[in-house]
Amino acid sequence: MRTRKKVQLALLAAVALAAVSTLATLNGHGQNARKKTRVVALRPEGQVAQAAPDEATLPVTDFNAPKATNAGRKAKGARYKNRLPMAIDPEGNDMPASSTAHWWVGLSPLPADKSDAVVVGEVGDARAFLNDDNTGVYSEFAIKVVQTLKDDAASPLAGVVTGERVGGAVKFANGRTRAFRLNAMGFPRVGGRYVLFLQRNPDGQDYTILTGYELRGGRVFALDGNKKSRFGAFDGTDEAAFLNEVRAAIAQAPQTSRK
Amino acid sequence: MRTPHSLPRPLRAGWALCACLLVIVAAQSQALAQQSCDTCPPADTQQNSWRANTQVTVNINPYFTQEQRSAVQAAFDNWQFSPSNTTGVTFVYTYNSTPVGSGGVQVNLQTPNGGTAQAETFRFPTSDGSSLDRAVMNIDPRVTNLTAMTQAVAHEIGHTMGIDDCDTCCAGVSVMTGYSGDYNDTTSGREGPGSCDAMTANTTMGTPLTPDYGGGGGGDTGGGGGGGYYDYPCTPYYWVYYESWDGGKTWEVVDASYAGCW
Repeated sequence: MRTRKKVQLALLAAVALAAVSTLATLNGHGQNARKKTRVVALRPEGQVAQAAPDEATLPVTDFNAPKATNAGRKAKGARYKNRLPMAIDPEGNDMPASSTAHWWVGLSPLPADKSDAVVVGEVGDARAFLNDDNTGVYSEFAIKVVQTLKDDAASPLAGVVTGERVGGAVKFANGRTRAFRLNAMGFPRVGGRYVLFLQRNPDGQDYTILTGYELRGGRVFALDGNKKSRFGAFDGTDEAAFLNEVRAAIAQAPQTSRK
Repeated sequence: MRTPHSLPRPLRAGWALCACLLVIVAAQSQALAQQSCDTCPPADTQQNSWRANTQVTVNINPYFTQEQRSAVQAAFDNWQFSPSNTTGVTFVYTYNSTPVGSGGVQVNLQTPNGGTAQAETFRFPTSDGSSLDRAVMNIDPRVTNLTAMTQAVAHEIGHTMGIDDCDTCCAGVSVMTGYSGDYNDTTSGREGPGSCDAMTANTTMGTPLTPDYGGGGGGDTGGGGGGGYYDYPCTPYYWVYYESWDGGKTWEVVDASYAGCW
């Protein structure tokens, strides 16, 4: 009888221990086991807009800047032709602020499979450009390669590479500055350090930034998307752990062999 | 023979405690499973949305067939007549070959930029940048299923009503769920706003004023009987949510919702 009670007690303790540890694990998982501080403040409308993360750092071009004459720039401009529903007018009245193009369709959060190169890089410069007929605006970012996580098989990376994204700001003669961007597409800030997923452009000239993650204070912040997008999954993650995830995604991705 | 009382009291209490713990674990597991997808889309900014109580002219390009036109129109109707939608935004329809301008949405049958999405909407702000002035909506001609077309248009309307894409939303709960890549998918979206879609739109755009807003039966602040919140000389305020992951050294804005106008 005494032995039976001991067995029952041991069994009871084991079940309780298992339940408590499962509970603790579930709670830890729910909170993502990361330290986050959140505050809320009441702000007037104007100050909410000012607080937008990268609006102020959007690259700007002058509407009246002379058009490029070199073939490379013209070819690049041609890729952005008709990205807007109409040509931008000299007053800036016909320039949309954004497009909901859903550009991320088919991209995973770590799109190593679609990338020719994956780098850790520092953004040294950012410039915006209008194409020849003012139906497209795009931005270029000079990226100093700090670490190559996946090298471009066709053209190994070295030094500084140029990354592009659709959108940018345009300054008009009337003093107005208007920005165009694709919904949920962020712009890397000058001076920032990022993991960037780069896809070589069809003409072989420079790279399109598929997506990226800023590395700041040992943590990771998605360049793109909102808090309910696929890109938000790594927000706040530890940098070293994130880089391991990126390396794993690269290792699992089929080797790209685009020419 | 063993009876239920054959166990000592401490053991019985222990088993009862275990049963409670197991129930809690099961409940937590279920809650976590449900958390794997969201039910509410995130809010967008007022800059990307119509002002409350605006009548919007929807010009549907004559290239659409009669059936397609009805499918497009159904999405706008579903938004306008959603019982949860209190934005006061209404839609009237035209079918001209000349695109509509300020205060309108031009709907075209045209491949969106990049060629991977069902639809795309260009949003033009007002000159002061405070709200939406007009929009151009391009629907990909590969969207041939009429239900899929209504869902795609309902999603794009959401982009003009103050709500943003929701990749993580559960299929069928929101018009803003992610697009699967199948142009004629009808399983992930909705033909009209869910209650959470409408509530988020209401929050972004502000709710219409009650007649006595501003104090004492109106008249002193109403500016000649103007019926909307924007006719009043007040400053809109927002609750802005900040997050920090580095102990408060740096902060980023993660969400904002309309608080009121004072």
